Amino acid sequence: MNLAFIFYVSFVLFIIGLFGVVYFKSVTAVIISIHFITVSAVINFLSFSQVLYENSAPLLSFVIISVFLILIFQFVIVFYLYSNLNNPKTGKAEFENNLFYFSIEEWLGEK
Amino acid sequence: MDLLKNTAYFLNPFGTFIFLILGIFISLFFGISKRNKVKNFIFILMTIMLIGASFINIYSYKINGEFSNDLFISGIFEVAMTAFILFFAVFCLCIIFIRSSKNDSFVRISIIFFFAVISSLVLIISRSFMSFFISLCCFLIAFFALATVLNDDRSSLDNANEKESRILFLQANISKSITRFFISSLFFTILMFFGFSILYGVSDVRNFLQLLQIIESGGINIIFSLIIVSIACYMYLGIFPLQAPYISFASKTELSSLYFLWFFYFPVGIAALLKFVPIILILNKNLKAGLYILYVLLAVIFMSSIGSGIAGLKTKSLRKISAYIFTLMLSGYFINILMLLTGFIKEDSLNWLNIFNLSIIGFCFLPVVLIMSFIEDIKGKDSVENLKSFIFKNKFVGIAFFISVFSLIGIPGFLGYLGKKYYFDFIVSILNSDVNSLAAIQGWLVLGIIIIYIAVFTAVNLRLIIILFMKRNKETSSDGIIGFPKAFYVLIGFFILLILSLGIIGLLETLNPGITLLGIRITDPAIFIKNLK
Repeated sequence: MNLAFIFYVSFVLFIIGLFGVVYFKSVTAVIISIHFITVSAVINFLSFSQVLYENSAPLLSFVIISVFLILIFQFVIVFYLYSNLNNPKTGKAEFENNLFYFSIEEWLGEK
Repeated sequence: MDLLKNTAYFLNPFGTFIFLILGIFISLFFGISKRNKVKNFIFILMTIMLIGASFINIYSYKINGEFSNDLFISGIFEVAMTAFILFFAVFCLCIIFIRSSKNDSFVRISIIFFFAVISSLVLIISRSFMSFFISLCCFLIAFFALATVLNDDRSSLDNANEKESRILFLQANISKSITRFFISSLFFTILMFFGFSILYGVSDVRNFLQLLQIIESGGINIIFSLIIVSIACYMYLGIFPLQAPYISFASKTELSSLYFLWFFYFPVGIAALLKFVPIILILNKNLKAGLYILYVLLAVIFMSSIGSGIAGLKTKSLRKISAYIFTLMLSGYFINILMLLTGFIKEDSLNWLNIFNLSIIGFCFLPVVLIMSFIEDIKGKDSVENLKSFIFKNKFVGIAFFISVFSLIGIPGFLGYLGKKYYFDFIVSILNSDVNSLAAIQGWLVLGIIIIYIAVFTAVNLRLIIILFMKRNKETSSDGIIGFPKAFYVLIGFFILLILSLGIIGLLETLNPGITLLGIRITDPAIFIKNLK
C-alpha cells in the first residue's frame, strides 16, 4: 500500500478526532474522539516504521508503552468520573458545554 | 575502586532519584496506617529525603560535572531546574501536611506526591522522546491521582442529611472540573504523541539532538509536527482562549492541589516547551519561517495579555486573579523566546532568564498565594472582599503581601526587577533601532505588544494593592485583627528577606558601585545577573 495513502487516512482520522474533542459535550464522545487521534498516531508510527525503517524495535517499545500509559490515563479519568456522577440515575456524563467553551461569566465573573 | 568510580559517575543525575525512591520504599511499609505518629514520621522522612535529594543534586553536579547519554542529559540548566522543583516539592509537602494530615490517606498521598516529583524530574533531564513522553504521562497520571485524593471530601461526611447533600453537590461540581481539566491534559498528551508520529516520518529520530541535525532537510512535515506540538503546549499552559479547563480547576478545587498545579504542573510544561526552543532557533534561520514564528509568538503574548488582563481586572475571585497573574507570568517565557529569536539575548542567557522566572514564581508569587489562601481559609470564601483593608488588620502580613506584589510588578530594589530589567532594556534597544533582525514595522509591533503586556501585568497586580488598602464601608464583627500561626510569620519573613536582599544585591550589581566590606566585594553574589550578561 502507498505510504502517502496511509498518511492521508491517518490524517482524516486525526481531523475527525480533533473535531470530536472540540465539538462534543459528552465525555464518552470526547474519549472516543481522543481514541481516533491515538489510532491515527499509531498508524503513522507503524506505517513509517514498516516502510521507511524496516520495523524498528525501539520504536515499537515506545509505541506500546505510550499507548499503554495513554489508555491507563483515559481509564482512570472515566473511572473517577463515573464514580462521582452528579446524577447517577441518568448514567450519563456530560459537560454543560464543550471542552474549551467558556462563557463570559465564567471568564470574568464568579461562576 | 572501579565500582566506586562507576557509582560516582552515575551520581549526577541519578543520586537524586535514589533518595526519592528510598523515601517511597520506606513509606510503603506504612501505606495503610492511619496513626498520627506514623503520619508525622512520614512527613519528616519525606522532607529529609527531599532536602537530601536537593543536596545530592547540586553536590553530584559539582564533583561529576555534566552527564549525558541517549536517554538523559544533565547540565547546569537541568540541575538548577531540579533544585527549584525540589524546593517547590518541600513547600507543597508542607502544605499537604498542614491541610491533609487528618486525612486517612495521608501516607498514600505522600507516596503519590513523590511519584509525581520523580516523574517531573525525569522529564526535566530527559533527552529522548521515549523518556520525555513516558515521564510526562506518568506525571499527569500521578497529578490526577493526587488531585482526586486531595479533593475527596467524603471522608468528612457525617449523618446530617443537609450537610451530606451539600457536600455531594460540591463534590459533583469539583469532580466535573477535575475531569474537564484532565481530559484537556489527556488531549495534550495525545497531540504530543501525534506530533512525534509525524516527526518519526521525517527521519528515524529518537531524541531532541537528532532532531536538530535533520531539521533543515525535514521540509513541510517537520513544520506540521511542530505546529501540532505548539498547539498542544498552548493548550497545556491554559492561555486565552483555551483557558476554560484551567480556570475551572483553579477556582473550584481544594487549595493544596492548586499549589501543585502552579508549582509543578506549569513548571513541567515550561520544561517541556523549552526542549523545543533549539528547534525553533534553527527554523528561525530561514527568513520566512522566522517571520511566521515571530508573529505567532507576538499573537500568543497579545492574546494572553488581553485575555488574562481583562479577566484579572474584572473578576471578584482571588483565586482567579492569582490564576490570571500566573498565566501572565507564563507569557514572560514567550517574551524570553522572542528576545532570543531577535538576537537580543543568547541561548545561555535564555536558560538563565527562564530559571530566574522560576525563582520569581517561587519567591514572589508563592508568598502572595500563600497569604491569599490562608485568608481564604479563615474567611471561608474566595472573594476580593477577603483582602479589603487587610493591611490595617495585620500589618506584618499586609506589608509582606505588599512587598511581594511590588516585586512581581518589577519595582527597582525588589527581586522581580532583575527579570523585568531585560524587558526594559529590550524596549530601549528597539527604540534605538539596535535590534538589527527586526524591520521598522516589526519593531513597533514588538514594542507595542511588550508594552501592553507590562501595562496589563502591572495593572492586575496594582489592583491587588488597591484592594489591600481599600477601606470597608461597613465593618462587621468578623472584620477584626486576623491572626496567623507563628510558623507562617517565619515563612513569610523568610520570603520577604529573600526578595529584599536579592533585589538590593541585584540593584547594586546593576549600578555597579563596587562596594567592598573587609576586602570582599559584597555585590559579587548576584550570579544571575553576571550570567545574563
